[in-house]
Amino acid sequence: MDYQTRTYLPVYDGGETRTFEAQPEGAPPPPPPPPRPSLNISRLAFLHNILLCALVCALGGRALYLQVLSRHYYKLHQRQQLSHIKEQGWRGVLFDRNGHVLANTVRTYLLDIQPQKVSAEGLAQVARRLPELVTGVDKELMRSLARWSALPEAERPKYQRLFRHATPDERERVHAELGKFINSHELQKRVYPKGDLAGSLIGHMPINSDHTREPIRGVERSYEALLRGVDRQLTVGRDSNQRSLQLDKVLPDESTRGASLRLTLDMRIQQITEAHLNDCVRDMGAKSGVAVIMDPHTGDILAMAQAPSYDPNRYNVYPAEEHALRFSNHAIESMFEPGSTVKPLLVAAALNERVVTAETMFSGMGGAYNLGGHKVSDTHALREMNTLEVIQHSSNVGAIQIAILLGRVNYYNYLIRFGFGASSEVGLEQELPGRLSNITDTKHHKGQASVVLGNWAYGYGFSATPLQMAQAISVIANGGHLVAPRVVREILHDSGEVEELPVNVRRRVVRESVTQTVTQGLVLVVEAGTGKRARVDGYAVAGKTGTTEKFQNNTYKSGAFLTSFIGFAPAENPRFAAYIIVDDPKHEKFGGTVAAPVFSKIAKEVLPYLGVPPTRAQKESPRPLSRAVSARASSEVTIDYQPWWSKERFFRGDAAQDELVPDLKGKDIPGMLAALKELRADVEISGSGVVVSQTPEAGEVLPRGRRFKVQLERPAVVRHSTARRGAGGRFGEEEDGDQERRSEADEDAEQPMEEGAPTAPLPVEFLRAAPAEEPVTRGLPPRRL
Amino acid sequence: MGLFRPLYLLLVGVVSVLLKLLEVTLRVRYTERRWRLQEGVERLAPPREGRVDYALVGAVCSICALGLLMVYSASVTRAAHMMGSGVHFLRQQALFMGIGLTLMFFMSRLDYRFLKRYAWPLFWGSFALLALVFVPGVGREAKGASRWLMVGGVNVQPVEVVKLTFLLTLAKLFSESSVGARRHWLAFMCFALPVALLSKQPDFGSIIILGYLYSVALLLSGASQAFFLLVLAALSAAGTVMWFSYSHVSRRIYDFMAQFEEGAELGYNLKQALISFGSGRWVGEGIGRSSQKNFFLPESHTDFIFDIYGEELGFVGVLVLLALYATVFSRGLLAARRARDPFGGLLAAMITLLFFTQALVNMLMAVGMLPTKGLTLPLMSYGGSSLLLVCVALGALLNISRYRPSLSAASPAPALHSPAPPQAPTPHRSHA
Repeated sequence: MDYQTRTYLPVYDGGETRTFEAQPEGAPPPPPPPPRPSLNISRLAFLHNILLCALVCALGGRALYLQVLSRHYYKLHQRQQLSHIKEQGWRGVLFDRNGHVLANTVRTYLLDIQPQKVSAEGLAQVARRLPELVTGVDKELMRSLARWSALPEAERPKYQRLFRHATPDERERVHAELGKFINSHELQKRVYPKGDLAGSLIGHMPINSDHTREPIRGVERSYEALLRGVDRQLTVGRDSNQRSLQLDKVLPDESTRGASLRLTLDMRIQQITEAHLNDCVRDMGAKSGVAVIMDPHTGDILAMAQAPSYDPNRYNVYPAEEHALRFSNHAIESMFEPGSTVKPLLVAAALNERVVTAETMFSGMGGAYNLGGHKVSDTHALREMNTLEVIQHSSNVGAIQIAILLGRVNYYNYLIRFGFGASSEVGLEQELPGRLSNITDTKHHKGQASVVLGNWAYGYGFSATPLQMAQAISVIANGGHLVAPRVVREILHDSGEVEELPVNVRRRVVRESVTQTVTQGLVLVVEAGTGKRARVDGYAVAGKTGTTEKFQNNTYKSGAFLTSFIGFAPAENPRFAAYIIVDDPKHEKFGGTVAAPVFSKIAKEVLPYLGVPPTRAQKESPRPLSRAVSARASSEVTIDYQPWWSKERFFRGDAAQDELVPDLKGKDIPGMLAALKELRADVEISGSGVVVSQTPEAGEVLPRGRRFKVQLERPAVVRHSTARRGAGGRFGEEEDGDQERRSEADEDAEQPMEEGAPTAPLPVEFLRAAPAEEPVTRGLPPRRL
Repeated sequence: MGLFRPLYLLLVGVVSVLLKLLEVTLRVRYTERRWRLQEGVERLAPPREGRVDYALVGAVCSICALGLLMVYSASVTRAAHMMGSGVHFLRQQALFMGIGLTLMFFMSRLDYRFLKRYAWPLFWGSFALLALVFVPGVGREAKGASRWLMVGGVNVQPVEVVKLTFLLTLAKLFSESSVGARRHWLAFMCFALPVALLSKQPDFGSIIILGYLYSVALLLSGASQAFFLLVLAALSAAGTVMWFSYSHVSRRIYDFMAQFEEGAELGYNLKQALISFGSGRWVGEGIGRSSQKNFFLPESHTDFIFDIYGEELGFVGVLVLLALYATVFSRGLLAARRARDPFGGLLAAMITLLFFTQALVNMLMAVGMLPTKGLTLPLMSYGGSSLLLVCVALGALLNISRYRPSLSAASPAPALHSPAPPQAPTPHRSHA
């Protein structure tokens, strides 16, 4: 049976009867049925097929393409659904060598508002309440908000920043009360708790337009890679109003924290140095001053002070014309002609080359030397002098003769070996190498090589940074090694790992016996020469003054001077080396009258602070520390390094108000300090030994000023502190021998004196052993004599 | 997943039921040829009144369940934001769906010939509703068009009612025995009167749908091809006039065409719709996990619900939904073909076509193949009044589908397989 046969059959035959009746065979076919209204099946099927085809082909195909084959919209989806929140890594902390925080990062919040999306009442509420919840909000801005609330939404600004430095507490309060209207974004703020202390060394971090901060100067800049931590990109879902959908999602902080740095800086030495340098610059009407205090054995920069300096917290308050003066770290960024301060180095080189001895006599030449037609004169004309007297009286005439004996090439090479003309490897980005032209290249000097040599003999014709000078004098102080200065002592990685930076002993420059001879000369300078005012009662000080006429407007006759002092103390076993330069003092003009007293004042306070016992009979009882410095110095109690997450570190400042006074009686100084460590208390110590009385008494509520007075007395036999101090090291070495004397000195002095932190001192053996690698004469031309 | 776990289990159940239904559906003869084969069977044994078509019921209920799920998923953030409660739209939709399914049940028990009797009063009544839109106080104007009536706090679009009464009237007219020009005049009047009002609103989408229904009725009722083409030409001419006289119509179509040009930027709605749909990939992001509904895609729970569906259930889910709509379509047309009188056939065919075409057009719009026009996806989109009307219409369809062939297609009469059955009627061949 063929379906074709039914193609034209009507489907509905009236709707009443649809029974099939067989036609009798041979009968005539019935007439075709009349056209009746009915459903046209072929057209229905046509529609059915067309639409189903459309469904399957168009829609199914399109769905297949959009969803499976093409990734275009999927990618668009990813792009618009996810917002990438970039967050800067949590910047590490800067500590001084004893664990005082010099720079820290705190969490702040940026508060902003979208006025168009906030109701009028909301705006009014924000304008009314925000100043009460957050201190420091701009009042004018609040008035603007109140004004906008009267405007229709379209006329208000789209976005308004309200406050940038809201604390977490303030943000919580704002969130609780005004959270519907105000958005907050996490920011970091860099704070420098010690204000302008070592500001130009530490540097600062200006804020960028996108609320991130980039360091531009100092340690902050130079150790950026370590400090900044890992920037993270937080990917969160968001809705079409840019609201983040996972507000509570916080990635673990550990991954983003940068390393902290423990600097070599000693906060108290820095304070002392800055105080005296500032006094000097002010009193002398000088333009500026720089002082570098350095541990000659390890290269640790104990203080790097300059006046004027600046407070990195308020870097934006200084007028633009002062930026170069305040922001530059002059200890590494300014070059000065060293003047007479180079003479000890010249003598050391000559002694080391054995072209002279300490007793070699030089003619005074009538107080003037004819150097290529220019008369070079001495301030104190001598008939004749030996090598040490050249240093003692700072004789230019003698120095020129020594330089001629040493020879041009030798002198140049020694200057190089003393670290001039090249970076000191201190690790600070802005450091300049100084200027030292190659004297061996005679063509360069146009036949004036001997004149140049003569100039170099008394410190003209080349220039060096203060840091290079301190580095050079350290060679004399530490027995002949060039030790690279360093400002970072340890890198405290976020993982808890502590990476100690090694002492960088670069080379042996001169023999140890040479340094002893030169030291004798330098002591003479202070005892009986140009640097008398650098004397420190009870200690032998080695030093050398320098006075340079400033080369300004193409002439040395400008009437402006650079006065400097270079030296170290105590002379026998130097604990610090210092270079002090004061630029253009108005009231005095000699290194001996301007810079030397600064050294004296600094040394007077630093030596006791470092625990160096006086080595000489004191002519008068030492004055107590100047009031300001002692207050500042004693207000800090040493803490050991603790990781950032330790309770001590983070909650030290938030301790409850009514703390009780601990019982200090019977404790020795370290024990007492340990007990007071977490109280952040000032303590005034009198006497030595163990605590016998204290104010306030134990059990009282800690007074507001947190000031303690304790009276110490020596117990009968107990040698209290030797046990605590580590074996080996300079501390131990000294104290074994000097314990008795030192204690007496303490009692006599009755001055506030605290222990430095138990810093790991460099073994003396280390310094002694190092130089063998590099023989003195290696790389130098053969001796002439 | 937490919140959606019960719903997810429900979906798994629904899908497994669907797979069973597909087996049933696949037995439907999709080609005319097969239909004619079955027709012979039906001539042997005319359809008899039986139970409703369960495949149709199953497909409709599955779409309803999916619709409820998607309305919830697509509206939850918007509802929480606008209404303060995430389930606001779900509650509304569930309420209307409950009423709608009840109505559907009653309609499926009510003999559809009852409708034939009241076709004209219903039509005039709905026409009056349509006119009421222009009466201030009752009608509501929104987005530059007055299309809505406020009835007891509920917005009703009278044109939805008009669509149904219009096709009811057409079915009545074209199935009546009175042959001649009169019914064509009447049909044209039924078409022209609402169109006149609709062009005042203006609502061109509905005009096009009415025109579509009108031509389908002409086509299916066996009007001559010449006449059909004449009407089609007239409608096209009207469309052309509309094109030139109303700028926003042509602009919308131009905009639509522009997107196919190289490097063209899509309109925001369409772009978001495609992003939503396209990010579904194979199996989707999971129910309730669409992120486009978070204020990216406007009208996510009404016009663009298909995109959210595609995003959450992926290509596989889309295929399932297409199969469901295809099931309703095929079973609906099957019911039309089996109807016991021409009125039932026409009515069933037009209800099915209206339902399916609207779904098809909405889905094509949602995937960017047709210009976007406010048209809901029947049984899926949020919207109370249209849901009720669709349910009523499907109820009528179910009632028509109660007439089943007395012989199963699976076991045709043995006579059909005999090589040359003597009783096979061959009247036309003999005439040819």
